[in-house]
Amino acid sequence: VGSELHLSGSGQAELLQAFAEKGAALRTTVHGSSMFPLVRDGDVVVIAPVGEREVTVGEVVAFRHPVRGDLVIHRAVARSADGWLMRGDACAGPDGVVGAGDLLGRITRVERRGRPVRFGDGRSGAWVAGLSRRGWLGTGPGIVTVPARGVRFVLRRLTAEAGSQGVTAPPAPEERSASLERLLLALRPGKVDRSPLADVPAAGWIEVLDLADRHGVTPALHRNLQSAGVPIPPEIRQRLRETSLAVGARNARMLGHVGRLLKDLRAAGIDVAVLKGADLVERVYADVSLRPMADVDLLVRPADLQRASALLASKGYVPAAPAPGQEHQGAIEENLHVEPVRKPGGPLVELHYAIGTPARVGGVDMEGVWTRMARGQVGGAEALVLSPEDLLLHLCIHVAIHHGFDAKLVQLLDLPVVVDRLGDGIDWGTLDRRAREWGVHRGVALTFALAGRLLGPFAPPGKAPELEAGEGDPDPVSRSERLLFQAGARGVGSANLPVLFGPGSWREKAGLVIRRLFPSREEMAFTYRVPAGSPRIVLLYPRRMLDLWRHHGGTLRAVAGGEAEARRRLSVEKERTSLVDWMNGVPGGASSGASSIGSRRPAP
Amino acid sequence: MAANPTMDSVLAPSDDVVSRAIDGEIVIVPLDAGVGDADDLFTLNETGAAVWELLDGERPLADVVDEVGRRFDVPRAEVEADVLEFAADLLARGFAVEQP
Repeated sequence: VGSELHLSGSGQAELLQAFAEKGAALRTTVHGSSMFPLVRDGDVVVIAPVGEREVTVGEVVAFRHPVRGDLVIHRAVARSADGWLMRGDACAGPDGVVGAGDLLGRITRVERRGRPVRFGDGRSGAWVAGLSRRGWLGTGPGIVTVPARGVRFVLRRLTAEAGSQGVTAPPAPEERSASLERLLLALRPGKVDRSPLADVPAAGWIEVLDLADRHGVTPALHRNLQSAGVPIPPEIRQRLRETSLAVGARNARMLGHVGRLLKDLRAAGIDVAVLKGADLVERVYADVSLRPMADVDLLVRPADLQRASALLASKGYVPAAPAPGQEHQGAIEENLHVEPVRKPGGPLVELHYAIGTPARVGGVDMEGVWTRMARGQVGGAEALVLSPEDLLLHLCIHVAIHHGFDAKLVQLLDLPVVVDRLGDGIDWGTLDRRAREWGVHRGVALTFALAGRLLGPFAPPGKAPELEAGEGDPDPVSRSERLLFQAGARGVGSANLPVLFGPGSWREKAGLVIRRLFPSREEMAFTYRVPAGSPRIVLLYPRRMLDLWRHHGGTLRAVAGGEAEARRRLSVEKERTSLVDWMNGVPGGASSGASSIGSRRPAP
Repeated sequence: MAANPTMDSVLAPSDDVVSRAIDGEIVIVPLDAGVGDADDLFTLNETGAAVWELLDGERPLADVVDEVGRRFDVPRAEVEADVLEFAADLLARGFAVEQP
């Protein structure tokens, strides 16, 4: 059984060389920060063949790295007898000298969010090269590399678009791209006329699949296309199948571990409920390969939290280290779970003690949630699962209020799938009433509205919670859609940072800092898994400071230093925060300093 | 662990693997090989899947052979050799365990 094809670094270079020999240009996404700020992570670049004209000092080129042999995009900063001295604008030192035989292309265009940007091209390149030679441009590590997958599928795009130089008109940022429209049409549940998909060329499918991969809906796309009998090119079908198989295998393994944990917790007399992914995969999608799971979310009662944590520790689960470059997902009270744990070969497990959001947790009647739970099977073990209404409420709260739509499309697809699967068991009146009781009605109504707009109507007419007129925001659905599809526009990971750098008073800002540094003893006890009355809590406040610094120190430094990228992310975060504040009924939006959400982590 | 099962052997899936139907195939996933590592999956062909599903920790391989032979209309001797070989492979990989 094949996992996904991953080309080695040298393989990428060889492919690019082969295309260059055909005289065609490639268009692909780059990753890395070594050319920051002129070329950035997630930018789309066009790599044209070097051709007859010699590379001049200052040009940004793709080449085979002189030491590692992989494909790198950096600037030629000097000419020598043997070739060109290469260096990333933000790199501490040069890569070395690259001969003509290892030059694979020149960068002719860089696009960011669909628009072309200047990247030190033309005459300014020589000037940038001069600065770079002197090491005045920065000292960031890393290299800009073309991902293996990008090159792999560029090959196909190139074949389909031969002669067009591989450059397509970028979509207007405020409109849905053709790929997104196609993806949404293909994902719509039920009998939908999918005939517009019949004529999509392979290159078009590649873009749809890239988007689907980013949003966790590739297996669902696969299933829908199969069942609708949409004709698709064989290589696309193969990629769909490989992804489904990989998702299925990964989920199967995770669920196997969940099953073991559930049995162990049950044997210890601890009530445990399965939330989100694992429950959805088993109960709702009912097919292990249809919905990717990022981690495992288990809910225990606050009184059992410590025993459950100890049990996980005894099974080899240890606090999870953050992935390189990823924000630390440590113990933060806003996420309503304790520090995530993992064991070698096992999934990331988060033990939750409540559902809802910090600002609203008081409004969620957790005993009621426990009482209404149903019994289900997860990973071959018996488990408690949320009632259908609580499940829908939790999904909406999570995507809208907790993550402010810093989320994936699959999290919205969950809604129609839940309604389709558990429809008869859903009491819509109860759902609406409970959303109001918990104080989350706007967030829930907005999530239903967005899912309906993207994927078509799915709830019985007039039954789902609806946004009410005159609620103050002119078009929350469009705002939420923009936030969901903001490509590469991850926020700064905290709704409090915009407040800190906003126009509020110093008194407000100081109050916020103190609240974040010194949460109540009760919150500290939950967060760090110590008994509520323990004297150890006092000793944990320094660790709390360290955790906060680990989460947000980099961003704080960048924003304070005025880095353009950090500021852009800050503005996305402001937009997100103001929408969340609107959902929470906080007057005045983010700038009021009364933000009702706290640290936010990247969506699973 | 006996790596050479006989017709009297009773096998059950190991607790260290999970098997699931994925995209129309039975896939065996070792649990401790690392989440996200899709390189070490094993799929079963139609007859392999039939045998796997019959390894319930109760029936001896002789019964499995009878059932598979009936289902696929294959001579018993042929099925017997294949099932023994397959069972030995499952035991060797740790995917199945022999019941006492």
